[in-house]
Amino acid sequence: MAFLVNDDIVKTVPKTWADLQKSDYANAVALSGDPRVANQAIQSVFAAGLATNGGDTKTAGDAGLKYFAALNKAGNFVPVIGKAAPLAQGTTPIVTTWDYNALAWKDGFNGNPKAEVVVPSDAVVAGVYIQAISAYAPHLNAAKLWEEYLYSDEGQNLWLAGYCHPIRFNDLAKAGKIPADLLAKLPSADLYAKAVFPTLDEQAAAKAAVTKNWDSLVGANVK
Amino acid sequence: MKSGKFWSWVIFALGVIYFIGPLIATIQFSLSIRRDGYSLDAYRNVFVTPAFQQSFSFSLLIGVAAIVVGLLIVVPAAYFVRLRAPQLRPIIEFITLLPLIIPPIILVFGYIRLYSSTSFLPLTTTSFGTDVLLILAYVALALPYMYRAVDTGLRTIDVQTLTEAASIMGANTLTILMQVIFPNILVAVLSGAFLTLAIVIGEFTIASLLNVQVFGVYMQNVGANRAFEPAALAVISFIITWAAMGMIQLLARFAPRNAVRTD
Amino acid sequence: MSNNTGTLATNDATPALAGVASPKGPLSGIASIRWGDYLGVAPFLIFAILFLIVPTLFLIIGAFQAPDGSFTLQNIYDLGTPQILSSFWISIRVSAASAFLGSLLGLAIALAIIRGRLPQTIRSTVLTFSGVASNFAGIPLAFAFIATLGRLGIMTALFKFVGIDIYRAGFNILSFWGLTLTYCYFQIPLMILIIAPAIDGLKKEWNEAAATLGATNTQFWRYIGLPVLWPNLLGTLSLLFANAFGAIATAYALTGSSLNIVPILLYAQIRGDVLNNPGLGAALALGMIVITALANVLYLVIRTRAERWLK
Repeated sequence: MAFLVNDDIVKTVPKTWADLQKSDYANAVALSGDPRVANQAIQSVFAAGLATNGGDTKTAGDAGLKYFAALNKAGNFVPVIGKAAPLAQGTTPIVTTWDYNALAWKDGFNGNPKAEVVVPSDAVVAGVYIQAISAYAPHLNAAKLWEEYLYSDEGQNLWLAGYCHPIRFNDLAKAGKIPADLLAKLPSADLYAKAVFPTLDEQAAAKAAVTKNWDSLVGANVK
Repeated sequence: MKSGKFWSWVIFALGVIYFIGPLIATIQFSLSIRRDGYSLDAYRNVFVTPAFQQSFSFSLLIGVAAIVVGLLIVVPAAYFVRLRAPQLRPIIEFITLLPLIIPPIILVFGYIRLYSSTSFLPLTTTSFGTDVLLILAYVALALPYMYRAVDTGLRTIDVQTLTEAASIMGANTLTILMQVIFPNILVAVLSGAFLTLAIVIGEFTIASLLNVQVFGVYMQNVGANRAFEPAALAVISFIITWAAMGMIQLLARFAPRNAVRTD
Repeated sequence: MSNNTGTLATNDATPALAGVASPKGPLSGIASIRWGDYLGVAPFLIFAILFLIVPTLFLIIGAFQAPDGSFTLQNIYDLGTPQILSSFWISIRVSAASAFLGSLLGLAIALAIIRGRLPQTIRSTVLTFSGVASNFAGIPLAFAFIATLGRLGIMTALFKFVGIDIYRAGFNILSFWGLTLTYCYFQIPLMILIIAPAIDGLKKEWNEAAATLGATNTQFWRYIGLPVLWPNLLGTLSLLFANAFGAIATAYALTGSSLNIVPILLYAQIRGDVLNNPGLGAALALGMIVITALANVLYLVIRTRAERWLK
């Protein structure tokens, strides 16, 4: 989970989740989805919680809600769903999103606006995507072959080209199978040294807490 | 009344500001892709992308198919209801209200459950079948507008007399429909057709849930990941819809205004 | 849209003649006439059953199903949770506000272009534009309004240039009234399109007759104009309400996570990455359908009564 920051609008780039609470960032911070629905947004809340409660993954969901309630009260939170366009236009100059999204959007800007990807140093949350094959699939073996491809060296490097850290990253790095130019484009590896992979239970607990309580605790309620 | 005219202009001017303002903002943003001034780069990027060309032409194709199927369903029904079975009118009108009441997301979920691999009409198992399902979904969405257009068209021509005259000369029902009624309601039909097209071009929910790459899905994708191209796309789609509507207005000039009295 | 100038010509084909002339030849009796009629309507009915009615029934049944498939009223009870009730209430308020505002402003504009003695080209341009604008919704619309009246919007900048800071004065596009303002972008055109034929129906002769009897313009509107238009206005109000109630994309794109309206909840249950209670989703949809159905039925009833004036 990272921040994408619009350098043209934001003067001091935030480095941590705690930074975002500062008054420099009034009307600046947005989530990249609806926290009642989208996993990306919920994980952002989780990450914020992790940063403020000292790394306790069990209560990170609730801590995250408190964080965003405070952020909203301070006037820093913008309820618009942050994507490339609102960031460029200026409504959501700071968006919390997965690093691969942030890097891809930054590439797409091509310098206009100038943007920066920041991996916050006080909490690094890793999200995992998986695939599943339906037992009722009409072409089961074709599906299995596809999965084989996704986890082959070639497939994993393709993920990397899209700025995603594939699961066999460490393995490939040790065997020297990653092209140097791809490696160069990624943020440096030590930023991810403390990455936390929440377990399924922790994720489920966070989801339940956030989706249920977002409106009552944080909801910029409708006047 | 001089003051009346003044206020009309005031209201009109305020209306213009309200409606044109957001459009100008979108256009301005879409032209700002370069740091150093306005350019049409965003538009060029859009037109050159194969995904745009493919999804747009595909949407056009689906739109035309939806129009044809819609006409095949609506014209005979409207004709017969007007001519011979007016007691069915309330039922038909109720049916044409359904698409306005049911959220499209519900419709598509119903379709996925009903027409999947285990049903009597497995449409979702092949990509052609899914396209067919999409077309039928769009026919359903456009049904109220298509029916209203055809009905209005039939109202302005004297269906009874035309039918009688044609059948006296030996035409069967099919010939009457195709060669007598249809050409006379062509203008109304075209207006329904353009409305259908406008709906199809912009539609997103149903297509995305059926996983078909139509223009609406492409717009959504671009909107999530690019900064300036979505604004360009919004402008493009606005212009296209305006062109379609403009055609309706143009053609409406040629519509038969009154029913022909043959006495 | 359609020009409903009521003609004196034959409208509903006289049913009296229907049973008499039969193009099928001398051997057809009454029975075969009926059969042939229904044959023409058959494709329509089959289509409607397969692709409109059955999916809806599916939904209605789904609203009463628990995840394991058994019958339950739990989903309906769950509709009573405060979060859902408040979302319905907010939806109703936003829809009502934009319907009222939309009909008022739409009426004003329609009157201006049709009876305000503006050039004829303005009328047709506005009608065409209304056709386009009434379909312009969703993310593009939300973005357009953010780009216009957002904190960094061009109109906000324009106001600042003249010295007015609307945000300091308390305005915020990301609020209830901001959303209502945005909704009006497709509500007003819809109103214009629907009310235009009705205004056309206010014959010039009535104005003249009233004038010869000594009525002022205000009196004309108070005793003749408004009463005639009134059923149409009410009916269109219902239609606008239903229109706004079902709109999700615009609200989502504009106020995203700060607003809790029913379509968003519905989307979350059925489509979201996270929650997955299709029974509750179906119940939500049922609730939505009931509300929009009521509004639409109201519209139909009022429209039928109003159309008597236009014949």
